[in-house]
Amino acid sequence: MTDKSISEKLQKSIVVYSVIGTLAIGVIIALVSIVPLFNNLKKKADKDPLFAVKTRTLAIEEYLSRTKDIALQVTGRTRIRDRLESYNRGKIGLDELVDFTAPRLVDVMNLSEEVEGITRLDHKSILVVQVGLPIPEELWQINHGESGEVLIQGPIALGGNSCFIVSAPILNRQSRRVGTDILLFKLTRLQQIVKDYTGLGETGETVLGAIRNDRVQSFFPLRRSKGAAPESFPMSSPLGTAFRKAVHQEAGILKPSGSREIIAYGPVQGSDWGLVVKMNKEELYAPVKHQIVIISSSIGVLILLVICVMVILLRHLTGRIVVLDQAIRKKTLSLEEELNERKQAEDHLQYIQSILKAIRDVNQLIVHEKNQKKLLQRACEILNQTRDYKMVWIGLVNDESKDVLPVAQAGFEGGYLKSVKITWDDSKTGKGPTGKAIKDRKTFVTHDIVKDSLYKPWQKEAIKRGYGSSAAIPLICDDRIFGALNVYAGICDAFDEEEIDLLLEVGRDIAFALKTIEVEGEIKETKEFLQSIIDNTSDLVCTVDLEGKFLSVNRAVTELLGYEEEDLIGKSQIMLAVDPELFMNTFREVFEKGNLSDLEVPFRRKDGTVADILYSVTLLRDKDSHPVAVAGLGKDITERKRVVEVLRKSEEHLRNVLDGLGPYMLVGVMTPDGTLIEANRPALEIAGLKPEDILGKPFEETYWWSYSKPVKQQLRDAIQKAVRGESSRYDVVVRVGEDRFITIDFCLQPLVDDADRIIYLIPSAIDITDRKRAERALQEAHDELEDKVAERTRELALANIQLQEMDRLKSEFIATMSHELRTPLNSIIGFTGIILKGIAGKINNEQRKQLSMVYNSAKHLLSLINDILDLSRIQSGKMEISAERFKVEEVISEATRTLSPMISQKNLKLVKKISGEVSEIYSDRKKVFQIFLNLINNAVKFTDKGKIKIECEIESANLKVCISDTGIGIKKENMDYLFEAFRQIDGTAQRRYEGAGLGLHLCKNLITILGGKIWAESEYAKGSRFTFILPLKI
Amino acid sequence: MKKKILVVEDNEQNLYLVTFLLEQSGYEVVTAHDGLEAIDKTMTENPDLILMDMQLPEMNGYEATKRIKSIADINHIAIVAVTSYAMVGDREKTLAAGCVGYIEKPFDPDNFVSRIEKYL
Repeated sequence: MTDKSISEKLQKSIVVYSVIGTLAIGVIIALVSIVPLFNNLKKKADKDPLFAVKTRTLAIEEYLSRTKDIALQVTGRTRIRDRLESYNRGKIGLDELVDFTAPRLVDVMNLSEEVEGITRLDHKSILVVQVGLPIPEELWQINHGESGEVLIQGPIALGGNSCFIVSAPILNRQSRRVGTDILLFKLTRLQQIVKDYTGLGETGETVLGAIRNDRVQSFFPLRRSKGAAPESFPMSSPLGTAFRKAVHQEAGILKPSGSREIIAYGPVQGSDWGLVVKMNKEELYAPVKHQIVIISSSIGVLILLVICVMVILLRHLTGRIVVLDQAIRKKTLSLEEELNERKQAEDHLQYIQSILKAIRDVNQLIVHEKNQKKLLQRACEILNQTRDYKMVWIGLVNDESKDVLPVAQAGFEGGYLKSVKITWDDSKTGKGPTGKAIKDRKTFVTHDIVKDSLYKPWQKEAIKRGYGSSAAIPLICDDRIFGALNVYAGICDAFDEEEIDLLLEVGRDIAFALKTIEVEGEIKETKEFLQSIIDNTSDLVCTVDLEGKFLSVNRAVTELLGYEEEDLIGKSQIMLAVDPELFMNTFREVFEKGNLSDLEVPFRRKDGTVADILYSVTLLRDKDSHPVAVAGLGKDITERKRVVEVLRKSEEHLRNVLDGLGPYMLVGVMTPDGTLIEANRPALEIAGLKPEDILGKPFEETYWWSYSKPVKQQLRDAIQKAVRGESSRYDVVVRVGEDRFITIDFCLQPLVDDADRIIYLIPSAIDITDRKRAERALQEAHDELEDKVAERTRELALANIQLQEMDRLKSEFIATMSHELRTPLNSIIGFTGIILKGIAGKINNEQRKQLSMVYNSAKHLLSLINDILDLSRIQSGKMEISAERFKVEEVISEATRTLSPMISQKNLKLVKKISGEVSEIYSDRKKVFQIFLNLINNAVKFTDKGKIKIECEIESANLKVCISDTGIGIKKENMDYLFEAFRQIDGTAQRRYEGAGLGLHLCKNLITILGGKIWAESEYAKGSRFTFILPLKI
Repeated sequence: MKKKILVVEDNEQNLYLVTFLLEQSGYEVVTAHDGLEAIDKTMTENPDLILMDMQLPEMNGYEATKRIKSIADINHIAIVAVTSYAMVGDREKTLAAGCVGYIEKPFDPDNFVSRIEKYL
């Protein structure tokens, strides 16, 4: 998807950049073309005022030449010229001239509307005729030069009108000047020309003027000015500059800086006048601008059109790129997939090969390595190297503890195996992959350690080390589970079925190896064990070849005979023979019989002495039953023979002693299984028996005992007891003949050796028949007495039943009394309480004091009732014990807290000394509390100053508590009554200290039923000390 | 709404004491003097809690408690024994009869109300 968008992005960027580029180029081209165009148009527009100047000057010039023509027509009129010539020559007088000339001139003047006046001068430039408006003499211009030029002069103001003057010379036929005509023209026509603003727009201005007296004098008032008078401008103004140039016969345009106007100027030929046209720049350029705007917008539209067309074209073109690109990409992807598949197949092949190699390596290892630890370690390393596993370890099972003990490991472990506990029991740690693999005997793969809930107990440690997945492979061979092979990979789902199958194979191979090692180990062990037996046995073991030469001897042989091993190996056995004949015979005989046993053969030691050997020989054969060697097994019986001799002598001695014990002492010997092996002579004689009648028989089946089943049973029990090490003694009747019995004091004792093993049972007996008879007589007398006692007892029992009934009645009475007393007490305590609290209304201090007394007395009465009730329960045996575990110190604190108001009221010091070993006891908490409360209460009650001391310690599984005070103490003669009921020792004290005297009695009873005891020590007037002990566990 | 407590007690003084304490604490109190009246009042008054003395004339507290517990409409009402029986087994007997609590007489007027309030 991202690839696709890349090509689309490319498409988009191509379009966008093209649009931007085209736009930029279009704008640049437009600017490059429009700016010069604009300038050109402006220049063209600039020419408009110049053109206006030209047309107007032309018009003026034409008009001026017309005025000149008029002037020349006047001068050219021959009749009046001739008259003037005549006048000049004096042929006619002035009057005649005027009369003749004036009407003619008036006619001329009337012919032209613009001529205002004509003045004729003679050749001496003296006025001769004047018609119309007179022209002042200073304006006469008579210097016409050689060519007789017509001169124009103006403007002038004459009689309120602006005029201009045309002077023309009057030439005769010989072109000699005979006079001058001066014509005065109106400016009307000129004004028409000048004031024609055609093409000058709204603001255009035409100024016709000449320079006079260093100022520009305009002929007419300006267009925009309101006044009618012509104006003048200084030479320094832009207008002045223009006029100066115009007068110098120049034409052109001025664009004064800072002014919004354009000034065009030009000369008027044939005069000293100039014409200026002023125009507002904006107005002048407005059409230009308009044009430019139209052109620009046209160009803009054109650019936009071009862009649109281009975008469409580009999209169309690049669209094909995208399609092409997608096609290529699709192709590339499929190629990549193909490559991937091929690579995966190759990888797979490679990894199968690597695992096969691992199996091969492990199998080779199994063949070569016989050390279990090294084998497993190498196997782990091979697996870890072969595949890129994180870690490989092998754990062996422990059948008893159900632990899995890691024995070999390779790869990154980082203390993992130490940090985790792996078992295969039914606990949580046994439900992990390893435990399951071992229990279920199935491979257990954890595809994702992070997610697998069974992995919980090891997850943290495993994740820390980067394990992603694991496989636990049970090591099973011949239905026996040896342990598990665990493989950890750094990624999830690292194990596929194929890999697991291969790992399983490795697991089977390793298990097979473990089994093989174990079997080999067992064989080796057995061998070593047998060898060690041979080496360490005190029996002689040797082998000789068929010629009788030693092949091997054990340590016992060398030690017994005093030879070194090498002294014997390869030597003939004859060297040891005391009797070579016997030796050889035996040797021959064994070939015939195969084996001989228990031969007593004397052997000669190295030092020459003789050893008696109990000797057995066996012919050893190979697989085909061919004899290969002879094995000899011997026991040194030298010492035994000597001991047997000594024993035989001492036995004889003993027998003499036993036999001579006297007729009443009967003694025998039994083996621990109850077989009689010896009996002394008196025992035999008393029943007239012979040894063969009884010896070797089970004791209870002998003549003495066999007459009665119960007697036999009793004896069997005694024998069994004796076998357990206990002796028995009882009186029993045994048979000594036909209908003849004696009573014996029978005793059966076990006899033990040095190692406390029972070797014999010794029955012994004394005949007490006579004594028994005497006893019987005594018994009869006794029985009689007994009967009497029984009768008496029955009487007593009856009395006891009556007593019990009374006791029941008493308990009932106490219970009822307690109930009946409690009911009124409830309202007494209740109401006094309410009144004391002020709930029922206000009371004064005296009332409060007295009521408090009532309240306390009622409370005291209640405690007395409770004490009586407790006592009654104890006496009737109804006191129940509810035992629990609790802290002694807590109970003491509770009791002292209850009494603290009293203690502080009497200003006594309370000292607690509780040994550190005192902690919890198992007893009845309530009762223990009552004991403490009573004793401490007593101490406080009978002590006016000084201190109360509570000491606690543990003394031989008992809690020992001492509560001592510095109070009034107890007199010696009263000590005996201390714990009796209703006793308060001192008569005076009885008055001073309230109490029913039940406290100590109750304490003693409570302590007794809790299995403890209490005692007191006291010195009168110095203080008392009560000590009690309680078992730590009731 | 005031909570209603039925006090069953044959001793007038004690009845007055309990009534006083409960009314002081803002409870509505109805009374009964024997076991039969207790059952009657329980049915008619439908109290929130019953304080039951055990030794009562006509019918004792144990029997009355058992009867109340066997009547479907009222067996949800908690019954607390207030009794001066203090022998071993008395407490067990009351609990076996169907009481939820046991207050021994004489009780401490200071905390009596707070003790019974546990059962409300």
